[in-house]
Amino acid sequence: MTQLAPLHQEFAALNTQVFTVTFGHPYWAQAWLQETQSPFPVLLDPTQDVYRLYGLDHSAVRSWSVKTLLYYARALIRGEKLIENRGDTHQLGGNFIIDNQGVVQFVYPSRDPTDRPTIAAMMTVLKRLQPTS
Amino acid sequence: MTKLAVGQRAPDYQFNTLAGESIALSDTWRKGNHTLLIFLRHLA
Repeated sequence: MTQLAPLHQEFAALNTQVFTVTFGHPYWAQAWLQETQSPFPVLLDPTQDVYRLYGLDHSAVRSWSVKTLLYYARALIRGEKLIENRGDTHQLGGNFIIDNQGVVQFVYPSRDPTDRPTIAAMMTVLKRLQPTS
Repeated sequence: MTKLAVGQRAPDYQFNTLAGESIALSDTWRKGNHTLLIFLRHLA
């Protein structure tokens, strides 16, 4: 999210509305918003119904893989502060791009907690959706 | 669980926002905007 926030204007120029979706309690969502200063609206999905609708996995094995544990260990070594558990740690995330006709144009379900698509991959799709003059 | 694929119709949904509003994804599409949805993990 820290990488996407500075691109707020660029997304707007590409006629793209960015939303973050969370199943977290609104109290923690507000705390997260203050910590990250994310400029994007936060949509609440407390029942995780939309996570399931969009086919996102729920996996204890992949959430706590060696790769994930190493990721957190390196973050601690770098001096980063880890925040306490704020909900279902087995739910995986993901990114989706939907065009203005309601058709899915990009699907990226995270394979593990550290896995997210590159900004370049998402920008390529959004630029392709722009009308040609 | 069904996986979404490129080219499929996206599931619409009426969300409550953290700001206390109600938003359907289709509202955004009707306004001519594309949508990037970022599904977060737990808020840690």
